[in-house]
Amino acid sequence: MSDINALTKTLIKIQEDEFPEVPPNLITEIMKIQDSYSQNRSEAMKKIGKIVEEHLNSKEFE
Amino acid sequence: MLKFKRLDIKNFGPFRGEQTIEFPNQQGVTIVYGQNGRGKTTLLNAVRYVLYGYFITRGSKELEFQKVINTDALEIGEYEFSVTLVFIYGGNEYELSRVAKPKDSSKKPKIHNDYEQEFFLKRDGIIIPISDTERVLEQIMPEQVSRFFLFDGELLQEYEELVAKKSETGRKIKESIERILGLPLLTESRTIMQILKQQAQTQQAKTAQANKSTVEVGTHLENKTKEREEQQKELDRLLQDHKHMKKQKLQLEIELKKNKNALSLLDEKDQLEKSIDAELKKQDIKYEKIRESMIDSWRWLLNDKLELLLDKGGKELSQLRTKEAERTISEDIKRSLEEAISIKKCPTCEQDIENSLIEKLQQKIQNLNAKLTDEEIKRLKYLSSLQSKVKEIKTETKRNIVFELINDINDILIDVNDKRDKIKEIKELVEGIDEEKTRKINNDLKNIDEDVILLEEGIRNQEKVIADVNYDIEKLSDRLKSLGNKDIQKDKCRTELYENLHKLFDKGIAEYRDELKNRIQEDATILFQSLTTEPEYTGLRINDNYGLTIVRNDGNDVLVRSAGIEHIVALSLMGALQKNAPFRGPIIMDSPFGRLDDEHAPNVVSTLPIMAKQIVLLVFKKELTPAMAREKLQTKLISEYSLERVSSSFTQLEKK
Repeated sequence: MSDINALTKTLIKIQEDEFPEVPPNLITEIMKIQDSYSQNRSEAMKKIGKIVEEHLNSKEFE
Repeated sequence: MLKFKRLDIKNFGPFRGEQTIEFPNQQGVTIVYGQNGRGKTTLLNAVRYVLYGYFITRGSKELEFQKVINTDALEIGEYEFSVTLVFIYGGNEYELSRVAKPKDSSKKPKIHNDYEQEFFLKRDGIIIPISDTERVLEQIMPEQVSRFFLFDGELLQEYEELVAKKSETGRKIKESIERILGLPLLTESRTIMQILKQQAQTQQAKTAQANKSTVEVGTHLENKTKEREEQQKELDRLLQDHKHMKKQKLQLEIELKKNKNALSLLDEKDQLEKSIDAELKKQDIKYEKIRESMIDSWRWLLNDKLELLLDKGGKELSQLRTKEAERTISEDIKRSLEEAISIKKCPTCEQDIENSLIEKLQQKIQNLNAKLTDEEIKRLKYLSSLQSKVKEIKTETKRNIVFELINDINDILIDVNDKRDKIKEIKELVEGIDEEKTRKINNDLKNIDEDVILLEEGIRNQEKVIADVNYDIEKLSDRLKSLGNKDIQKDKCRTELYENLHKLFDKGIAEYRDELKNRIQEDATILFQSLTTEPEYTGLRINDNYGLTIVRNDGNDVLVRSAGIEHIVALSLMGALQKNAPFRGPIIMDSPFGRLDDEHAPNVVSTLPIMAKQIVLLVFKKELTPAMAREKLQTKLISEYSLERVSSSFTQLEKK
């Protein structure tokens, strides 16, 4: 029961201005997960953890 | 969007047997007319009951089935009551039913526990498993936002709490407002980021411990994360206590609100009683002064007579004294004359006195022989003695002082009697209200307020402890980054990402909240301008609690608002929330015009269709006449029902 587009738009604006190191698609994905699992925190955490790991795995570490 | 299709009620309140309201498919307003006591609020409660399983009476939740069942039905052995709501949501048709029936069907239920409840939800004719029912309903119409859809006009006054600081009711409404506006999605995301960040730090410590070069820092980090967990547990405990206390405070506020008027009357009664005590003390002092002044009061009664006596006796005394004085002088002259005759010489000039003159002098002496009579002497003595005694008795009168004191006492008595009459009136007004209980609630509320302040200080301290531990964790984490290998780098990157996401959501909440407030203020102002009849009111200003203050054309705030204006402001807020909320659904309003005058009510009626697509009004005809409803709503008036009295315990729903 949220205006997911309006919320995401607000977050992306902040990301562009202050958190350029955070990938914007990660924010969009997190919002989608939260919208779908708003009644189930542990499931939402699992899903968010999964996409964060995917993002980290795509990065190179020395 | 949620849309009601049909409401079936059976033996619920005054609705005996099975009765139904059909909600037309088109957009607009359905009106149910009913006089007081016919069941308008019961209809609202029927919807609340079927959706959430409770009723609301006088602002508080209730769940006593024995109070709801139709009494006629109960008498003829029909012990069951039920409500079914058919609605459309997301393109599906749902049928939601709640049935309350006796646990033992052979026994007449008397108390709530004699009943059991059955609950069904069907989607497109298929029953949804009971384990999913609550979750599905929570998604369709969460209870926390129900106040914006099912509302009692009498409870619109609650919205003024949003303007007041420190009100638990206000905080609760604010929470509901943010919920309907979709803010919890952001706050929940922020909480999740915080938890994930902490988990990432724990992971970081474990990875570091597996590496020889970082084992020491890793162990230190692990200890710190464990310490934080412990401190967090303590914080959670405090927060739980806080939540519990706030809940208690809210209950007390609701209880107190029911008797708010009584409490102010009781305070007034206390003040009057104190004032009477003070007045009676003043009265005692004045009586004492009168007693002191009255000690010689018997003399004042004699004063007039004594005055008369002095006046009358004084004249006679004066005559007698004059006569006496004259006699004394005559004696002296006589003695001088007798001497002159005996020596035949004037004692003054020593000239000889001739014989012819001696005869004359002797004659003169004869004339000077007049004396006071014995009677006169006696009278003179009596009057002299009387005068001195009268002067002794006569005293200064304090009559005026006493009169003033008596006047004062009379004023006090009038004042005290007025106050006693007022106390009597108050006692009649608060009759039936448990005075002791009301005062206790008031005291408990004050005490709980103090406890909440102490607990909040404890929470702040605990948060500071956790912040200090977090600072140490951050430093250790940074150290690991410079020391670590690829895995440690990845762990650190994960932690930083969650940290940034947490900050981002935190900022997002603040910005989105501001954005919402601006939108609500703007939309509420537009609605308010169309509802108010006061040209000097130019708009509304929103505060952090979403409370709305009226702004005058000179830029000043309107500080005191009538109940009617309060109602208009609350309706403006409702309309603005409906417009900005992602959730769309029907609004059912019970007695929404009761406090509005004949200028504001038509304005509100005209504005209703823009507030929501489906509106159900429960009104009495004086509040909204069918003629006015038809004139103002025209094609938007889609259906009319009336609640017809069959008997005091039986109301029949009739379609008009």
